[in-house]
Amino acid sequence: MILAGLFGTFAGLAALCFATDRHYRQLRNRAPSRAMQAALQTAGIALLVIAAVACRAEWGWAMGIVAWFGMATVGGLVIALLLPWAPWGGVLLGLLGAFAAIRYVAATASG
Amino acid sequence: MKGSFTRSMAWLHTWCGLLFGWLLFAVFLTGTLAIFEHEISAWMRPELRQANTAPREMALARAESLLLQTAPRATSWRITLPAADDAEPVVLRWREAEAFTTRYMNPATGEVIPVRDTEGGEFFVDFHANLMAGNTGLWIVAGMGMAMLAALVSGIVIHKRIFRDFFTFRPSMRAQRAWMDGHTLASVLALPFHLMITYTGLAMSFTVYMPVGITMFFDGSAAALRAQVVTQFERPAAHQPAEMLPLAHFLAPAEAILGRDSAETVVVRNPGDTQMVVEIFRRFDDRIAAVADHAAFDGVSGAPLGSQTIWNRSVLAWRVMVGLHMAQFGGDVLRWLYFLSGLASTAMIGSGLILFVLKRRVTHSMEASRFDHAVERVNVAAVAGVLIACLAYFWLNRLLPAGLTERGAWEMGLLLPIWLVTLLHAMLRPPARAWIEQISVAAVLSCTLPIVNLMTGGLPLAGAELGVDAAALGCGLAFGLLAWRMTRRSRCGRNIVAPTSGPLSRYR
Repeated sequence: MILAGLFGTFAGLAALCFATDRHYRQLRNRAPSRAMQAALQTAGIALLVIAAVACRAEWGWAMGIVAWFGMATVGGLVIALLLPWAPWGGVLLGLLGAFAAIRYVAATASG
Repeated sequence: MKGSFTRSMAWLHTWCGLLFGWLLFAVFLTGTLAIFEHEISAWMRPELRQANTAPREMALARAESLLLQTAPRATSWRITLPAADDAEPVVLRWREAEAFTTRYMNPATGEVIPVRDTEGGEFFVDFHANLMAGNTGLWIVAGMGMAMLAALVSGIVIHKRIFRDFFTFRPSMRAQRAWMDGHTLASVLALPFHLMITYTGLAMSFTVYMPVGITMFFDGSAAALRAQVVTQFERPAAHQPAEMLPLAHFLAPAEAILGRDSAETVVVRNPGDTQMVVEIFRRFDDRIAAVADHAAFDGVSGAPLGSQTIWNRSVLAWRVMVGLHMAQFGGDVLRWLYFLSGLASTAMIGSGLILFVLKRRVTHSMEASRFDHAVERVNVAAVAGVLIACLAYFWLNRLLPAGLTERGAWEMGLLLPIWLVTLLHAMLRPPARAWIEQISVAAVLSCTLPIVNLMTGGLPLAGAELGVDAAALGCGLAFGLLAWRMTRRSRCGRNIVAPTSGPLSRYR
């Protein structure tokens, strides 16, 4: 659950980051289409919610919120520091993180 | 100067940030290190690695017999047990003739482990809380905290593109832009942490700087307030010896009240007296509120004297803030998150100090005043010098001979001279060079710390030390990267600008 929280916040912020004009341009040299932007924003918020659920499962609400904010800070810093050097690395890590976060949460929910 | 609201906020942010930032950098850096107080203490007492595990009842029985031998006349004993499966020593502390003594016992053998004299991680806690200057220091740090809040709020006001610049970091642009990006990045992404840690830090010691309530309702005695909130089971000694029950006997009834495997600290008042009291405190690393439920027993008859597991709500609200600040809950992951967020705060303050100089260089481009020169030099010592002094503390812990008298005092006492040397160095060297040189020293000190640990009695891959070594290596690499980039930039800068040589040309 801890890993789901870490991956989820990172992937969620990465998605929100690439939903902006400025950072999408770092990948494709043009602004994202409306649909792409909406999809990235939805995915980003969904992943942040998944991470919050994971934090609650691990720590309960009170501590979970503290942990969620901490993870969001660290996740945001990682993506921001990655962008100038390896923007596509951010995409790759974001996808891996999203996959891992969903897998962890799904595995716990089913078993 | 102060034409509009935003401009006056910018003025406040600039000057408040500069004047208080010098000391705030040290306060936040030591506070960040203080999160790992226990790990640092363990790192600094490598002797304690001999400790093995033992069942808690046995450990407590051994602690009791050791205390009966060494401190039978003490007015109180305090025995801190390790968590159920931790290979940690039992900490014994007793009070005899108004003086406190601390010893570490191996729970598996019942013998005292001799350790070097050091304050360990507590030094960082003390410096962070009160600059090692008692209540005066506490007042100073509280003033710093108020200034920090003012700088944070004014910073939010003057930052016009919080969401647009949320992830923006452009290290390859000109220096002022790159540092500004770093500054806002560290500020915005860790903003919940900055606000929380500053506010709770102020709320923690409110009784010291807002004493009116205590003066009016408790005759100015904080102890009287405490006595009303924390149920007291103390009683005066009768000075008549009595046969005491074995302490291990009390664990089961206490944990029936406090919860399984939850007892952490056993306090014995008037040991061996007819009025002996055994009070057992619960660990509180599984909740945010820093309150320890406790249960007390008569030490001679074993009869329960009472317990406290329910707390006054306003006290609980306050202790939640204390707990939020001290970060002893939620395990290692949460403390690493606190540590990284704390580094972000520290980086925010450091980059803010650097920005002050860079911005003034742009606005007053023709000539730097004596004030600007002084600021630039103090900046080097307040940021890089403090980093070096903190690292020197770890080095001194391993390099000073173990038998030195007043060793703990030497470890701390040498830090001020070391910091003064960095200040002197910053005054003598051109600032651009001083930055590079001091950050490089910090990088070397930090990167080689794991090696020093290994060469002076540390184990490479053992629990708490691994964390300290890994953090040192990580920070060291970051300092190295920073020094390298600074060197590259100053080379390019010299080729493009500044035809004249000598220190002054580099101010531009």
